[in-house]
Amino acid sequence: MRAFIDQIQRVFLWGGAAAFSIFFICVAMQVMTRYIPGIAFLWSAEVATYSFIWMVLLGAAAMVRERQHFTVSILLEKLSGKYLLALQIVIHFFLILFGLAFVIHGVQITAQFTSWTLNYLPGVSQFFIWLPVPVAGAGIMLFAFQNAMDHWKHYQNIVEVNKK
Amino acid sequence: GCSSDSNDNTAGAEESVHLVAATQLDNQSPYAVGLREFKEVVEEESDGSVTVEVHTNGSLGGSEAELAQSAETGSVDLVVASPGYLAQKVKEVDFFSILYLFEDREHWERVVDGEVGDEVARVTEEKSNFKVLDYWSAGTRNYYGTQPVETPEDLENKTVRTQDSPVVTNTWQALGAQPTSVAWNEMYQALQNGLTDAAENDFTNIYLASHYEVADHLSLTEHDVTTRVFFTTQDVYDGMNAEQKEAVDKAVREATETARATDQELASDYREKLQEEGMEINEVDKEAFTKQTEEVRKEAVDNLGMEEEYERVQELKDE
Amino acid sequence: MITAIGLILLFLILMVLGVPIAFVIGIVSYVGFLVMGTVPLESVIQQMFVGLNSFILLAVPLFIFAANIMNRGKISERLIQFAVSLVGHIRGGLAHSNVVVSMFFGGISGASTADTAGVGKILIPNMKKEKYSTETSVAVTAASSTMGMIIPPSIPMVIYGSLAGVSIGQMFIGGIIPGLLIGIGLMLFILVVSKRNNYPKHDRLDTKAIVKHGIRSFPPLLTPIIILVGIMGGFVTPTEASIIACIYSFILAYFFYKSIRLRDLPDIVIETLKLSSLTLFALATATSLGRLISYNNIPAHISSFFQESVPYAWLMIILIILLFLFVGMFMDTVPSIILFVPIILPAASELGLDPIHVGIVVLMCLAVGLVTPPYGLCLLLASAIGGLSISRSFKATIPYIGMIMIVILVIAFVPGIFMWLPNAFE
Ligand code: NA
Ligand code: NA
Repeated sequence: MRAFIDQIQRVFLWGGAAAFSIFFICVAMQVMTRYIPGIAFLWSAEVATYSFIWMVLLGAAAMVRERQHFTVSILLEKLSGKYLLALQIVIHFFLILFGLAFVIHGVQITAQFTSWTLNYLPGVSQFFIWLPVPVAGAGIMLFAFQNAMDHWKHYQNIVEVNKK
Repeated sequence: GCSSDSNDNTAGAEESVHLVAATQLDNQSPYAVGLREFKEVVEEESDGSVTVEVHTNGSLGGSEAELAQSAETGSVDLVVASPGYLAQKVKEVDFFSILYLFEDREHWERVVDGEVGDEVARVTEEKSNFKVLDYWSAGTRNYYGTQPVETPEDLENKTVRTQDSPVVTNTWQALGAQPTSVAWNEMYQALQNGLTDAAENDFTNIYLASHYEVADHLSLTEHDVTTRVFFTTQDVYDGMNAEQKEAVDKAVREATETARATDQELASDYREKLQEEGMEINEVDKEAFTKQTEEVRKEAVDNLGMEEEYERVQELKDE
Repeated sequence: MITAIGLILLFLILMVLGVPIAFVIGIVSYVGFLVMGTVPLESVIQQMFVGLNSFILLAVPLFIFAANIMNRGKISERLIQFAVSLVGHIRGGLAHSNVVVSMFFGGISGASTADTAGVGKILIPNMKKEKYSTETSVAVTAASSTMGMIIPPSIPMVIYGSLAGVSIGQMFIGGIIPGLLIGIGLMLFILVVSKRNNYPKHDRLDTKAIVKHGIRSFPPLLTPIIILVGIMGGFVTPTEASIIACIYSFILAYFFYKSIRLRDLPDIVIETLKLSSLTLFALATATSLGRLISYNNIPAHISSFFQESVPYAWLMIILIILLFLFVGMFMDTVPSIILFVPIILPAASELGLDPIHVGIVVLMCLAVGLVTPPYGLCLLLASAIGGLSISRSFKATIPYIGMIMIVILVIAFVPGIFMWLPNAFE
C-alpha cells in the first residue's frame, strides 16, 4: 500500500514536471515570436497558464506526502507519544476533509465547464483545465491518509520498542 | 448568490430575492452606474422584494472572464461581459466580437435592439443557463500608436496589442498588422519602449491608462463598436414570481438606457481630454479597412453558422 | 460579527494545531461561505482556481527555476568568493560578505527564501567555523536575505505591479536603492558587533585577486542588468524576463562554468515545482478567503475608514507600515499583497501617495515578516540550517530588524531618496 502510494506521488511529481516543461516552452516561444515576424502563437499564453495551474495543483498535492507545506509547528514540537499521534491524526483528518471537498466540488465544476471551450483554442473543452482540481483533491486525500497511517505505525513501533 | 432557498417556482413565489451584481470596473464606470440604476429601479418597483448589492472595482472578480465563470457557478448573479467570454459556452455570441460588423453606434443599436439581438439572446438561453438581459457597450475602439494610419497599407508589419480572440487577431492579420499579447498593465511601457507599435481601445481606457503620454496619434479606425452582454442566469430569473420579473424587466430597460448614455458621455468627454493632452486624432479610409477584412468576417460568420444574421446586419446599414 | 470572530478563532486554532497554513486558509474560507449560505460551495473552488489563472504568476516558478540552476551550478560559491575578496578584510569579514553576497544574489533570484537556502547552507557553517556565534550567523543570514525580494528581480513586485496597475519594470527599478540601503544598514550594524566581539577578518587580497574573482563572477552579476534592460528597453515583458533569466543561468552553468549536466535538469525542475507550488497553493486558497472578505464588504469598510478617518499622508504611511508588519508576521508575502493591497491603495492614492512609493514600503514591511515568527520563512530556514531554536534565532535577529526598520522609515518619509530613479524612467 505504502509503496503504491509513493509511486502515485512520483506520478504527481512527474506530471507536474511535464506541466512545467510545457509552459516553459510556451513562454519561450512567445518571446521568440516577438522577434520573428509573421509567426504568432497567440494561444501560447493560454496554454502556458493552464499548464501552470496543473503544475501547482499536482505539486501541492505531492507536497502533502512530503509534509512540506508551511506549518506552524509550536504544538507539534511540544507533544510526544500518543498525544502527538492524536494531533497528527487530527491534522490529517482536516487535510482529508479538504481533499474531499476538492474532489466533490472539483468533479462538479469540471462537469459543469466541460461544455465550455478555451478562448484561443475554441476546439478544446475546458474539461482539461478544471480536471487538475479533482485530481489534486484525490491526491491530497490519499497522501494525507498514508501520512496518518505512517504516524500510527511509527507510534506502534515506539510502543513495541519500549515494551522490550 | 440567489438567496431564495429554493428554485421551486411555487415555493419561490413568496420569497424575496437578493441579487449580487459585480463588475471589474470602478465606481464611475458605465457598468457601475448602470448596475446601480438597476438596483434602484428594481428595489423600488418590487417594493423591496428584489434587492441588489453592487460590487465594483473587481472585488468579486478582476476580469470579465472570471465574472462570467462566477455567473456559471452561481456566486454572482448580474454580470456585464464581452461576448468572447460567453462564447466559451455559446459560440454564437462571438458574432458580436466580429470587427467592422457595425458602421457606427446607430447601426449597432438597430442590430442589438432588433431581431439579431433577440436571436443571440434566444440561442444563449437555449444552449446555456444564462439569460441575456440586454446589450450594453464599452465604447467604440480605435487604433492608436506612435504613428497615424490612414489606409491598411500603413499597418504593414506594425505590432498591435489587441484583444485575445481569434476573430479579432485574424482581422488585424488580414490588415497586415502583427497582433501581439501584452498585459494591459504593461502596455504603457510597451508603447514607450517600442515593444509594440500600437494598441487599440476606446477613448476612456486610453485616457485612464495615460497612454496619450506615449502614443501621439489616434486613428479613427472604429473597428469595433463594442457589445457587452448584461446577463443573469435562468435559475435566478425563473425563480422569481411574475411581479418580480416585471420589476426586473423594467429595471433592465432603465439600466440599459443609463449605462449606454453614460458610456457615450464618457466617450465624448475623454475624446476631448485626449485632444487637450495633445493627441492627434485623424480620420481613416474606413471603407478600405472594411473591404480588406471582408473575408475574415465571412469565415467567422460561416464558422458560427450565422449567415442569416450577418445578412440582416448588412440590411440594417444606413443607405 | 459573531461569524467573523468564529472564523478568526477557527483560523487560529487550526494554525496552532499544525494544519498547514494553505489548508487553514482554504478550510476557513470554505466554512465562511458555508455559513454565509448564499454562494454555492463549488464556487469556492472556482475562486481558488482563479487565483492561479494569471499569466503574470508564471514568473514565480520561472524565477525560482533560474535561482535553482544558479545554486546547483555552484554559482553561489563564486559569488561568495567574490564577496569575500571585496569585504573579507574588514573586521567581521564573513558576516559582511554574507550581506554583500545577498545583494548579489538578490539580483538573480526573485525571492528571499532562495537566498537564505542557497547562501545560508554554505555561509552559516563557515561562519561557525570562524567562531562567529551561531546566533550571529543565523541572524545575519536571515536578515540579509530579505533583500532578495527588494532588489530586482522580485516576485512580490510582479504581483504588486499587476494588482496596483503600476509598471513592474518601474517597481523593479524602485527597489534598487532601498535594497542597497538595507545592505548598508546591516553592514554598519555588523561593523559595531564585530568590533565588540572581535570577530575575525580575512587577509586583504591584492587587487589582482579581486579582479580575478570579479571576472569569474561577472557573468552571473549581469543577470539583473539583463533583466532590467530587457524590460525597460522594451524587449520583453516582465513574465518573459523570467524566462530570459532561466535561459541565461542555464547557459552560464552549462556552457560557461560547466557545473551542471543535462541530467541534473529533471531534478532541478522537480525542486522548482515543489518550492513554487507551496507558495502558489497558498496563493490560491488565499484568493478565496479574499473573496469571502469582499462578499462581506470588509475591504469597502476598511477602505472607507482609511478614506474618511486618515486625513494625512504621513499617518496613512504609518498605518500601512503597521498593517503590513502585522500581516507579515502571520502570512506569506504574496497572499498578504493580494489580500491587503487593494484595500489600502485607493485611500493612499487619494492622499497623493505614489503607488510605487507605497509598493516599496509595503514590500519592505513584508520582507521584515520573513524574519519574524510565527511565520517567517527566512528565519525558519536559517534557524533550521544553523540548528538553532526559532526563539533564540529571532532574539538574535531583532537588532538587525531594527536596522531594517530605520531604512523603512527613511524610505517612507524621505521618498525623494529613491523615487528619483524610477521617476527617471517614467
Ligand atoms: Na531579487
Ligand atoms: Na545573506
